[in-house]
Amino acid sequence: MQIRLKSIVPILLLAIILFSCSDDDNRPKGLYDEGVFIVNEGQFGQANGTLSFYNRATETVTSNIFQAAPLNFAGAVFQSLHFANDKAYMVMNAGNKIEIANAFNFESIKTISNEELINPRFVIANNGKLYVSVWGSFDENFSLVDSYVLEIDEATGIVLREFDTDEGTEELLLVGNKLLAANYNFGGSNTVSVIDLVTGSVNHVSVNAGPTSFAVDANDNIWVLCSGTNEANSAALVRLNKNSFELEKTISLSESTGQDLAISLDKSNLFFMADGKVYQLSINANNAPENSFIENEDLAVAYALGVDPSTGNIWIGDAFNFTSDGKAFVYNAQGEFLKEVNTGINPTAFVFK
Amino acid sequence: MFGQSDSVIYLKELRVEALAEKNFLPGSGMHILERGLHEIYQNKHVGDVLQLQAPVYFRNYGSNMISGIIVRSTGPQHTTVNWKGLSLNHFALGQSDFSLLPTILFDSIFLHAGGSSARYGSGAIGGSLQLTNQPSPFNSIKLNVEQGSFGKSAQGIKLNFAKRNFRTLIQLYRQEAENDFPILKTNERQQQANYRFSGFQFNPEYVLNKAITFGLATWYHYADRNVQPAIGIVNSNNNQQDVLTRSLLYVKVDKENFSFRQNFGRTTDLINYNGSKSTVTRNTWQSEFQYRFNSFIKLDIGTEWQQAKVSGSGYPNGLVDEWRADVFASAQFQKRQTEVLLNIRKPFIENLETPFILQTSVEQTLLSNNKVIVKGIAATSFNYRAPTLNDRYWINSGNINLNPEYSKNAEAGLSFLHQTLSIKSSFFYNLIDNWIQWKPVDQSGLFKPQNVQQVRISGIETKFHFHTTVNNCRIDALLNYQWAKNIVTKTSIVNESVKGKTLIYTPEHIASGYLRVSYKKFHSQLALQSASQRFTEELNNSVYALPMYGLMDFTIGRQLQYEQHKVSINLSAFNITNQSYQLYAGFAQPGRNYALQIQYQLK
Repeated sequence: MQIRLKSIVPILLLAIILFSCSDDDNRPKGLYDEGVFIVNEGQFGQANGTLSFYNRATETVTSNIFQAAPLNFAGAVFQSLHFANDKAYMVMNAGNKIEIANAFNFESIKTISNEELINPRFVIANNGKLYVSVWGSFDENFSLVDSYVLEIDEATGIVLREFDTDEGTEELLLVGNKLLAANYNFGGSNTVSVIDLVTGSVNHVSVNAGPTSFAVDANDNIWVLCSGTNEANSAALVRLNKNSFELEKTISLSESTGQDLAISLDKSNLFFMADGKVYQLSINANNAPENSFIENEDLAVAYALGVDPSTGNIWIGDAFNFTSDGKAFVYNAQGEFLKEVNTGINPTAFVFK
Repeated sequence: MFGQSDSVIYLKELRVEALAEKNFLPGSGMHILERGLHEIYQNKHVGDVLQLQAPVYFRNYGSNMISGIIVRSTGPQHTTVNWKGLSLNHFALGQSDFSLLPTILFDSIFLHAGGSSARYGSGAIGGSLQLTNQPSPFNSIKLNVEQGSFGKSAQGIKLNFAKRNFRTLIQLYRQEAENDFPILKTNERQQQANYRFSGFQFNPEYVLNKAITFGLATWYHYADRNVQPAIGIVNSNNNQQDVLTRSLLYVKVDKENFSFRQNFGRTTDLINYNGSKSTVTRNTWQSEFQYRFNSFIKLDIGTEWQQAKVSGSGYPNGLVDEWRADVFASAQFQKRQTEVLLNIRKPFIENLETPFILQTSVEQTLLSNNKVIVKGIAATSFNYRAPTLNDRYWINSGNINLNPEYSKNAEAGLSFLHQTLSIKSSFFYNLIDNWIQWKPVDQSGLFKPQNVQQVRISGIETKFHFHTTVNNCRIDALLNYQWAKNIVTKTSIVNESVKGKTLIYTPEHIASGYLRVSYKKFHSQLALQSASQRFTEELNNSVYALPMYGLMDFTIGRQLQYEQHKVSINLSAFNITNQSYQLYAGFAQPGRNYALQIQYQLK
């Protein structure tokens, strides 16, 4: 049987196209596909917050990868970074803006700002909407008086709904159609707001003073780090029921903690910082750890904590003097020191991709 | 002295108050504001004028916002500002905000660069600034109106009444601006930077027997400004109001061979930031006696006592107070071609050990004939700065165990004075120890003030002044240049990486000057200023540094005179090259802008 060339050509073309598509899938989408993103606040009152990128493969750091034109930097007090839908959502706390960029090459897509974005803290993108925790303004005593969570239409930037929370709302966690918001207020608030995104109702769960961040463990239970006040034993790690969000467990901590809660690769151990030291706690523990897990004399000011879900490595941010570039110290899951990485000014968060 | 030589040449009408006088100061670092420039810029603040005539830098947090002076690479807290001998530096913050000092008020402004704690007490490590005005023995009225870009509107009235033994100076002023200039970097208009201020001075005097003067000087200043946010910040709504009152009751005795002055002063500084208030009240007693033994020797002795109270939520129980006392003496020996100065001071501060302060200088005329005078000067001084009330008492952070900052200052220079040209050049050196900095004290980030740093500063200042008159055309040209290098020589162990670095906002090169041409009733002036790169953080990362800038202003004006009536009209263009620049990182400054000023004077 003779095979006509004419009949082969379409098959060959199809094959080329298919292979090409396959190649496209494997081809890098940008310089920043995978790695560790270091959110650097910048100096207080200035717009020199930056985003650094640590490439796991090359073990190199690239500084200032996103510049919100016409600034030379990302913005004023770069507070947090969230990835979703191939986009990066960057919250500028003093700038009162959310910068949205391509998650792979960090080319700017758009900037969202409106009159209700006053001291925004964290953002979650979901179904074309942005949920943003907002501190609001300070009064004459430098106290927060009206914090809330905004629902913003991502396409138009228009505020759709405002959910009233307690003061000093920090990290957000989306569980199904419920949005959890930790009301911190420097230890002045002691609730987690549970927002029903369908009905718009808001319930408050009472916890210890200063709830600030969340972690979800291997059993899908929700842990909340309550950083406490100046009083002893006011800080705690609390566990909320994954369905009802009711308080299930409280582990008191003797001294106040930092604001970051991290979880190990297998989601069986929690990590938090207190007095510049890192502590580890099993999700099955009932009492606070007696000894620290990591101590570092070279650490000037402990400012951020994160665990890389790809490697299990523990990252600690050092703000140094709050005005100059800081550092990150990296440890393996066993707490052994691996390396030191340069950061921008005031490294406040690690985001892993 | 070099400075006195300057004053003879440029400022025949200036007078100097007893406690604020520049006698007993070595003259190599003296900068007296030139009258013509002073007039053109009288609706700007004192810092705006100073930076055109002296090698200084200002850390301005925006346009007409908080402004701190940098003299010879020191900090804003290292220059004392005095009005009629009364210290204006904020006792809790330790520095003066120059945006609260309207140029229009002052007859005389002079800056002494270099240490002068022995004359002016705590804080005069980098320099000291003297602001004076006083009633004239002649009646006069002066009105000033200015309209400028970005909604700027300024008005001022100065009245001098004199009758028999009474003379009174009354000054009223106000200014406001939308200050919504285009930010050249973003092409957006500056938001939230509008300001207004107003105030008055009232200074009656009674002169008895042509020798004894009783006086009361009062000054009230109210400023209300929205705090300009950094570029890129929206929805900012910070507001600051300052309410300042200064009162001075004085007696002066001026005889042929001696003079005496007794001052009682009271200052109140209220800052209201977003409704949060703090108030510093200070009472000051000053006595000073000068005696001239003969034409060769002059002596001066004095005492000063101050009590300061600060109230606000940042202090234990909302209130703290502190007293300070000083005794000081000065001697001036002058014989033929040589002048020797000696100043000593011993401060006493509640619960604080203070050093004994000494300053000495020798000035020698090296060449003097009917064409040229050449002088050489060498000076050395020890200077100090006491911790501020915030440093010592701020709740949960103040450190009562702080030591005063201490500096060793030396300089040497030459001056050349010709009929049309004067050149002054000096080398200076300053070693500041126990430098107080607010630093994190533990890994949790708690800040406390500490004596952690030693800084070594050295540099050269050169000043050229040329003036001549050709066919009714007078030409004046001034050029100031400073090269200054500073290095952090000691710091805390935690901050070890800062060692060897340069202080923030201290340009290595500063240049300023002007060229003025006057022909009959017309005058024009070109003013220039420039500063080199400035680091904005302690590790000197050039990524965050501010680049060099150069600014140019141009003014053209005319005077009209009919009998006793004089009208001056000035049209000015500032930053005529429309340069985008920042004096403090992140805070925009205006591009090209204009002002029309009309001044009427009746004498």
